[in-house]
Amino acid sequence: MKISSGFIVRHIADSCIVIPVGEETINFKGMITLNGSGEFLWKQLLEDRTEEELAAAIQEEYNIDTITAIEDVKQFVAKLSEAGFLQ
Amino acid sequence: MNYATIAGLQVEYSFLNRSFFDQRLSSYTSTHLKEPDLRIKTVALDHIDPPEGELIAQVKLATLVRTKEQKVARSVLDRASGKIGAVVYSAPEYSEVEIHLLKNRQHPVFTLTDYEYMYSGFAFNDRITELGGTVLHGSAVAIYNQGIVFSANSGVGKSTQASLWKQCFGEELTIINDDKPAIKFHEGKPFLYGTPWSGKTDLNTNMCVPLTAIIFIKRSASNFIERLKPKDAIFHLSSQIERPYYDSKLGIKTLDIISRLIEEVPIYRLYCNISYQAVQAVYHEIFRRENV
Repeated sequence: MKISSGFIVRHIADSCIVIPVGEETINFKGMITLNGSGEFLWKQLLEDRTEEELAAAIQEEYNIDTITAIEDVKQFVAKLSEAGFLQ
Repeated sequence: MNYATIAGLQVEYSFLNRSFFDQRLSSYTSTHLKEPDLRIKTVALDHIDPPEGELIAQVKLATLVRTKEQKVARSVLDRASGKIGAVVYSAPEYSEVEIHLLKNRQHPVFTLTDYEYMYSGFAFNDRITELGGTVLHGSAVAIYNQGIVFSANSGVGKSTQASLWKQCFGEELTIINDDKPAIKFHEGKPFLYGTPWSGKTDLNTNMCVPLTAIIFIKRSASNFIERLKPKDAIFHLSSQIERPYYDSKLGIKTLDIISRLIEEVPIYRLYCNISYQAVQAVYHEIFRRENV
């Protein structure tokens, strides 16, 4: 899975925001904000990734245990999927 | 050809409904002084052929094609008839726009002139965005040589708040634009401009003032104003500054403007009803004076 094209990440003021541009403005109204780990996972998903690969990446980046990494990734992916960000 | 200066842009135009646009643009007309920033032309046709060229994208009822002249043609189907209702040919950077409209298009609300008004407004929006400015959905007023924009979704009460201010301040206050004022930066500071595209009303003034505040309105039983955190200000600005579906690069440019506005302009949320207390809440906050 990976992020659909048409969403961009910008740092404005102290916020990391994801916002649709182009065709995606028709499907998705609004924007989301990402915290540090969210931004990290988002960038990982700019390439095709499995949940296992994401969990391994976040575990290495943030030095967290496997169970926490897997759970965090599951929740993040579920939210992105529900919002229509993933292809 | 006719000429106008709108928000500092030199516009050369040729519209179908001359009497309508002569009246709407009467305070913006200018003489041909230099190379126009934007050329707009509208043509009415009994039948519109699909533009020829390389398909860029199909987005719902709209088709984007790159023509052999390297223009982008955006054709939109008329839902009722299935025919092409409009094609907009845009030169690179939206410096020249030719709008083809179906002559006898049947619509329960919009006339041919309404379509001409809307598409010419889009053309202006695109060009000013390309040049680093923007258009904000809001009702803009000027007082004491300072500009305030009341912004919100349609029907929430932007024009009502502007109208309350007019009732309070009379000749001291000018309505700059009641729907889509333009914003441009000059020497790092934002300025608010009137344009002839002012929505349902003809309330607009050809003027420019420093932009002092942007106020997002929310209906409430009581009146109070609060400064928005950047994250919330970004959300509201991105909701009221159009990002066109047909050009992601233009959409990205609007984010540059939003970023600059967040840095330079105080942005508020006003909880308000229809009363002079709503005016007072804003007046006290912006101008630090007690009495309206």
